Amino acid sequence: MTSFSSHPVKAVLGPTNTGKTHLAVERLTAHSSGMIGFPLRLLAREVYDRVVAVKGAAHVGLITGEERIMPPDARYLLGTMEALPVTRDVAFVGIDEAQLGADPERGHVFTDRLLRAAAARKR
Amino acid sequence: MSSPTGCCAPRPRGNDDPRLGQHQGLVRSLAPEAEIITRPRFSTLSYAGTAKLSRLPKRSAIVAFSAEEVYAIAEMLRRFSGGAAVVMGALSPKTRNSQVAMFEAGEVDYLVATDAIGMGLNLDVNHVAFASLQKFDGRRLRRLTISEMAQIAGRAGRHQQDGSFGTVGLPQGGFTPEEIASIEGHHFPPLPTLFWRNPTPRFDTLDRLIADLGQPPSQPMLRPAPEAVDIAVLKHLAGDMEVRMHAGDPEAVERLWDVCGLPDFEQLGAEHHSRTVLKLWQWRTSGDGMVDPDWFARRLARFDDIEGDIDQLASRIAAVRTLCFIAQRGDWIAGGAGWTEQTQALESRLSDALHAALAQRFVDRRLALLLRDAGQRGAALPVAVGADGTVAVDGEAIGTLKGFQFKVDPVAKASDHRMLLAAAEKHLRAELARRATALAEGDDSALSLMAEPGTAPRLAWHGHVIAALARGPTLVQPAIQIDPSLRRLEPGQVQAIAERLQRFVADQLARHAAPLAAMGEAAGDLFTPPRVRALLAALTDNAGTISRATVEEQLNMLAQEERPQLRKLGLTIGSLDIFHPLLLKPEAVRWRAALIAAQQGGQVPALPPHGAVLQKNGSQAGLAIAGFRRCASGWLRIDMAEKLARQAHAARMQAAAPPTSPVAGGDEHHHDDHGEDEAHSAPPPGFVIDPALATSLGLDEETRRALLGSFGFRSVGDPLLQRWRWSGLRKAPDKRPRRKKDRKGAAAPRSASEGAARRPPVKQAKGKGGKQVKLHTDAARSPRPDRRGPSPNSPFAGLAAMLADARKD
Repeated sequence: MTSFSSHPVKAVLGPTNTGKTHLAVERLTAHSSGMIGFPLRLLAREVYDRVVAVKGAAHVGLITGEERIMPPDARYLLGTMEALPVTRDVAFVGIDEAQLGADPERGHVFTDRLLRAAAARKR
Repeated sequence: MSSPTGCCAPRPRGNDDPRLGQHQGLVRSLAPEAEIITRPRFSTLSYAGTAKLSRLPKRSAIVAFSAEEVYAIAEMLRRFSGGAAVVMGALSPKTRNSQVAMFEAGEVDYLVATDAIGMGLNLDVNHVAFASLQKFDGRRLRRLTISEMAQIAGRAGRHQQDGSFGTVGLPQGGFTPEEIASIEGHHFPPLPTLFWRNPTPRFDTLDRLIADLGQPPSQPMLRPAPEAVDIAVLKHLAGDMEVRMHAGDPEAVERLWDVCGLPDFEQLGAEHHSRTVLKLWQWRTSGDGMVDPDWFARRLARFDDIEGDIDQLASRIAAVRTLCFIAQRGDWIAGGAGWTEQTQALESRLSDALHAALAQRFVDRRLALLLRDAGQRGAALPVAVGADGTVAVDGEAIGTLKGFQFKVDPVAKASDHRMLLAAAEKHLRAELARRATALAEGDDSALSLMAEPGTAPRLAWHGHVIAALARGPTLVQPAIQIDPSLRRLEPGQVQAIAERLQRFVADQLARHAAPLAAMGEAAGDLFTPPRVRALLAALTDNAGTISRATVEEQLNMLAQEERPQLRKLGLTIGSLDIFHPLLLKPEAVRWRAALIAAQQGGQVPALPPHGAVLQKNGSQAGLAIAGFRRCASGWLRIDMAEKLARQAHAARMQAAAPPTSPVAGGDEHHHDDHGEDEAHSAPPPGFVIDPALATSLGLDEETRRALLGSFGFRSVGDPLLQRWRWSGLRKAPDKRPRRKKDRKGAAAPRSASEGAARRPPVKQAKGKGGKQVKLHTDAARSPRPDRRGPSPNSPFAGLAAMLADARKD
């Protein structure tokens, strides 16, 4: 797999069906804590189920507009971009479908999280 | 065509990789130190052109951009191919997952989706067909951008399996060559900018908040985001004087912006949606700052209804999502956890109902199963044939198998019929072969003759028609025509069945109509004397019974030694009819009726009920076959008529025996005229015939008289006295010159000597013409004084002769 050693911010680019999300999940679970934001509640749910399978339900949270699963010991959060907390301190932050930053309705949220993530890494 | 350079090996920081053009510049400017990792696509994505909906390959996703389009396409697919799964943004995740699962499981071969399909985990889709290339983006109807097209088309193929994309028909002119090249090669125009909105607006005042939200971005790569619903709602509410009054402090402003975050799940539009938002804000800024639980409970109860159509269910789900969102917010409503549980449970119930409604409307499960199977040659679905003949494919009833005839489920649509028949033919081959073997090797109990009135005679297996009887070489050898429903069987099987049926018919005829076969055989036997053969042939042609009148001549021509041949066959040569008693039994009658119908290529007539001896009316043909003869106004079975004839003759004999001279010839008319004078006996003329037997058979007086008349008896004297006299058979054909006493083949035993003694005078009459009808018996009997003896045609003639001889002695 591609090395993630040197840079704090990685842009994983590629067409559909190239395993970007899969890579993100792999990276998330390799960290001590983290979260990934998705454009759809459904996608968050799918990935939530995958992470639970790896880490156990006690360590994984799901936060979307309509659904909230927050175990006290949750270290990994999956959710919709809008619903995920912006202030939480985690070791890994992933943004799925980051091109949605160009979406007229919701783009600003993705852009904001992207900028926040970049700024946090700079500190 | 895919550009090979675009998708082979991963490149480290592929600055020149055209694929990266879309994001790379942006990433560089927003996060200069970011590492860029490219993900190659391992499979190619190629343009497959346009296709009709009905010709789309299986495992295709069809993309449209409105619910109406999605529904219309799914309905068409239901007709062509058994159905489609439906994926739309409005569906709840649970419904969407259920629909996708149906597709992934192969229950349906098509997925109809809005662009909601563009995101998400991999699907097992090989081809993405665009039914439309434009969508309404909330502001205007516009053509998809190349990256949107690519995002959607990219769902085709997975892992290393290549995918394709195309259109259904040519919506909006179809893909342009440039679009095709870009999608195949993953060359996308760079995203020039991302949308930005101030994420940390200030809440000092309402106007400050609105101004901050409208603040332009500072970086060139960022663009101010178009007005989203939350700002539209905020601005709408800000125009309300009352809101302005209550939004006096920063906390109230912050709370207003907070509730504006309530998504417009129901797509009501800012103005309508703002009513709910306003309500929330009012609760949040008064009292305990919590949403009114009564309102919430009322809303929840209102949507707790899983009845309705797709649109009703979908809009209810959207409304419940609003409630979910509210319940989720721990600071918006008290007891949020309990509400969350309730709202989620309701959403789940509604989602299940919506999935069921979608499947019901867009999936013809039966057709889908049949088609799915058709695509998997060799992988036959389990076909079960129930005890009642119901044929089910993988649990889905598709029709019924009756005997060898498959009938498509009557509820199936006409357009499905051919498909169902084809599927059944394929699936049922094994079952039909099994049945063919069971038929050919089974015993007679499963087979039966179907001789329903008004139908051609047929053979049935377990009650289902499998063959028809048709004209064969002889009456008792009908041809067996295998029913068309057996044509799907192998020729060898059909042959075996035909042979089996021939055996069955032969066995049945041996059992029920053996005398007929014996007659036929004797009639065809060269060793049988020609005159006997002629008589038997006539009998056989008439299925074993014949009116004596029609064969009187042949009967008379028989030589003395030829008669026993008839007796040997068990024939009764009665006063009026020649018949075999066994052939009058119900099953024999049925078979004989069937044989006659087969021979004549006609239909089986209605037969009188089993055991009947007297019928007022009925099918003349059926009555004749069943052995009934016309008798006054009704029909009497010939063996019963014969019984009455014998009784009458016995009465006559008794009367004649002691006082008067014995056997009388039948000098019909003359003796009628003056016989009484000659008698000089007891005052009442004639003799009594006990009516008890006739009464027990149900004959009324009129019929009885007619019958006795046809036997040759005449009423004499006062009718009330019921006296009878023998007058002989007037209508008997000419030439009954000899062996009159032999007429009754099955009659009482006579001594051979007596028969021999009577022979010589008969010879004289032989060869005389028809004019002698009335005289021929006189010729034979003239020497005898007493004319009251039994008719020479009667079985009692011999007996009478014997008695006379005894007296003489």
